[in-house]
Amino acid sequence: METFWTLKLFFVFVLGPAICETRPNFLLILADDLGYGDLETNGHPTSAAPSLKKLHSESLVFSNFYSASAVCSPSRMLRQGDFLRFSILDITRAFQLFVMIMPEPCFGQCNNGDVSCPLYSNTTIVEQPTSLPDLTQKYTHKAILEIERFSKSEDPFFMYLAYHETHHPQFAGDFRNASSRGSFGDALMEMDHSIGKIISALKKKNLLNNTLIFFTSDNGPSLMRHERGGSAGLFRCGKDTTWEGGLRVPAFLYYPVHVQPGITHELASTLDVTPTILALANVTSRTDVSHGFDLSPLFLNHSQEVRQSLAMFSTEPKKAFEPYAIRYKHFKSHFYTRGSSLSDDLNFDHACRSSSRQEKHDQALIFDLSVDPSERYDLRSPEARKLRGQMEQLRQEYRANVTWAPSEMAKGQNRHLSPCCSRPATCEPFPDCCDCDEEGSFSSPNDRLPEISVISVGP
Amino acid sequence: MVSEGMDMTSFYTAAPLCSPSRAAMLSGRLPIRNGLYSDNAFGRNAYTPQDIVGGIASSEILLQELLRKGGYHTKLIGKWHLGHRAPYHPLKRGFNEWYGAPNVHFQYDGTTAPNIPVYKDQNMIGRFYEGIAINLTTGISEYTQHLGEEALEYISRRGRTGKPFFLYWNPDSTHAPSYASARFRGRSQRGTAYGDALIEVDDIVGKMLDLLVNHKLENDTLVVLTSDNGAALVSKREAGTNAPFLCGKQTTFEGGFRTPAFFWWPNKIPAGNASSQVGTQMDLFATFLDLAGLPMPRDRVYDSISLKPALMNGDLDLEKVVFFYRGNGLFAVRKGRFKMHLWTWRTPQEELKRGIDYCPNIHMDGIVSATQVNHTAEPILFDVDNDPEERYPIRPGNSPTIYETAVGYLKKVVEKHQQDLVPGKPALNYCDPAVENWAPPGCEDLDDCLPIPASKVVICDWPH
Repeated sequence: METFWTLKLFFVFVLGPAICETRPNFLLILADDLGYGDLETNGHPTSAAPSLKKLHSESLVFSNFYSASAVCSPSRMLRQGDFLRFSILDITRAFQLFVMIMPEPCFGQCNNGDVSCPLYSNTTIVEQPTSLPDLTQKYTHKAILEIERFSKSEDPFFMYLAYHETHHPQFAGDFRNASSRGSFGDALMEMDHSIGKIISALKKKNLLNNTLIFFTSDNGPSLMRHERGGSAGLFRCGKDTTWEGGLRVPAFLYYPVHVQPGITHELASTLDVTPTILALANVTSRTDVSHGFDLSPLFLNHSQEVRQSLAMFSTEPKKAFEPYAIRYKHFKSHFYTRGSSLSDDLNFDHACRSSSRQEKHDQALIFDLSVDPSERYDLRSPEARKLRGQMEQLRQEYRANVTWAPSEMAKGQNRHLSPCCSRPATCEPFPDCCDCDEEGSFSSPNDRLPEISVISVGP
Repeated sequence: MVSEGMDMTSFYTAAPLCSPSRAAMLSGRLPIRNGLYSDNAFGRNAYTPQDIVGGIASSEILLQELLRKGGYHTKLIGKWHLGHRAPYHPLKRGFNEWYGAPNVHFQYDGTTAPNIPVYKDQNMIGRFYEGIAINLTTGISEYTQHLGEEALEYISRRGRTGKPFFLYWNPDSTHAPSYASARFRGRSQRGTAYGDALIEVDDIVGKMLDLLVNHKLENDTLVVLTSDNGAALVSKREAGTNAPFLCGKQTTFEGGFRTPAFFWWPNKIPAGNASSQVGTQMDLFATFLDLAGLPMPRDRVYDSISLKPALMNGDLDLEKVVFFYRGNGLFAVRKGRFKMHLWTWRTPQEELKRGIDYCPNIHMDGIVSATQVNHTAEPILFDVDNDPEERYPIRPGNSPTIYETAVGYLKKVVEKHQQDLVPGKPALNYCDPAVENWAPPGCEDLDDCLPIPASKVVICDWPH
């Protein structure tokens, strides 16, 4: 039993030549707040996303894929989160491939007194405030231009397309009122259209056959936005909870020739994206500790149980309580649960509301997610007692083995670090002075850009 | 099937449970018109257990009767559920052939109540749990395989004649108690007999489609897959799912009525599309007649439109109305994107106490409620395109214009419906132990005739 329970958590990557001759290009597409139930391929009756539907049908679909966090920034791994020691930046530095990073979303989170949302091109703010209705068109245009550039190069590329869709408040450009699902459906359609155009561009430039496309979402739906917030489908609750609706997200991997379309029920996580990409790119990471696994044996060699377990953390993790939940094989145990206002204080399921405060389950809840994906029926059978003990042991191992990084969030905030068009963020009157002077007068590269804004690394 | 055909995502049954739903599909008329309901108490779901006296009225014209008259050969394979007594026998109601059972495959002790017979055409050939084994401990039965073999044999046989046929294939293995054959039991990732049963049904559907292609019949055959009502969430871990829809079987929320609907007809129906045409299973009546070139009877009111324009040309009929009846009660109505609830009801309190819940984990005060709630004065309105989960009622205080407009026209729709409505005579009011399947036709040859108890007609009790 001891070896059975040995965690494969802290393996140093052994990077084999998974794909020997040519390394694939990578297109990583991340939707924002798109829930498991939001795509027509997962049963939504009024969503329409034909490009994603086609991609889905030609992909390996991960039915048990989890975001590492139930809210955006830690999930995205763009910064070193409290427990995620690995970031996309690490990939890009290790790769030395071309990288294009879209600006981080800041709408929806903007408070009074914050600067308006900037649009970056590499290290330069080219628009502030960003015009949202045509933002996705700009992304599409830029991505296609880059694809044309990539096509002239021998080097493989990594493109990270982090859409703002379908985060509230939605915008949809030409797709306003195009769907029968309202603003959420319109935004989804616009993103889908953009993805379709970008895939067409890859095809046109003969890059598609050597490109691995991975599509997923950063976390579950923001149910507080009601009909504009997305759907977790058959899963319980949504964003900012460790119930399935907060963490389980749509995910599919397209890699023609190499990966057979179909479905895998194997456990996987956004934590595994980086190790997988690095392995396929045959790049040795400078970071030797990761919570992720290289999933490529799973989809290239049909290996099973590349990942056996996953720890689920709350969004404001405190050492005393984490991890909140453990998934092991098809079982999930909740040791702590709490609702969140992001999952709607009017939610018809009381467990999702913020009035459901942090609750310790002395007898951990345990669900068989294969049978009961909606987490309705706590296992009470005598067999479950043994399983509950195993889950507790697994949790203790996570607790013992996770090295907590210093919290980035705990470093506090300083308005002078705000992205500010062509001038330091010490300008007055703040924050209005941070807006670009006028449309078209793009600023020169800003050498005073705060550290957190330097998120792209050139070739 | 879905990728080669059309998926209708706003498709509804006519009732939130088996018998009335099936009767409405085959008659093209709401249960309140065709009589497959009860008015013993307001808003209660009735069906055809084996002590039911009634069944589908002889005055109703059924789809298979019209098709047969129009030159089709017809066969029912599987569950009938429109009445098990002699006058309601499928062979008297338009089917050339039948293999299957008249009622649900519940287990009885054979003494206080007989087990349900399985028929081949006119006569019974055995009973569930007896000659036709269902092992409830292992969840294994080969019955679905029999239904599959019958279907494949029928398609091959009738396909060779070059004449049109109508096959009505009704497996019941995903109905509790679920079962699957030994070859499929344990196959599903889901891990339940329900999950295994689904895989088995899927496998047979695949074989049927392949066979149609092998016989070069695919361009001449419309295949429709749908379900008689939402998943029975009372079965808990053994249940299906209605996600993302609210509640399940027995209720007038979307989870009770909205059902999968796949239409497959290569080269006739465009492949891989979803259609937002609002439709009901009663529409299959007019659709099939339309495609067969047969006229609709003109002597009665139908709740049925032909879906041919939506299936073949993508033309939408935006006037389609869906009525959500629970028994004799009109609980809700949908037209366009709006659904209006006049009455709501979850599960009666006494059933909730026993752990029976048609809406597990759901708390919507005054809407998902243990007693019937009358909302007629201020109906509950949902935009089921924007909010298919029926989570966010449109309140008159918050969106007065939308609310007033939508409720205004939906009320007019209801008013007109109720003015014109001539309710059928309720067929599900009376129960009698003497009418149970004690001595079905053919029992003599099997030496399986059970003594018939004295008749005692009672008013049926429909608890929900």
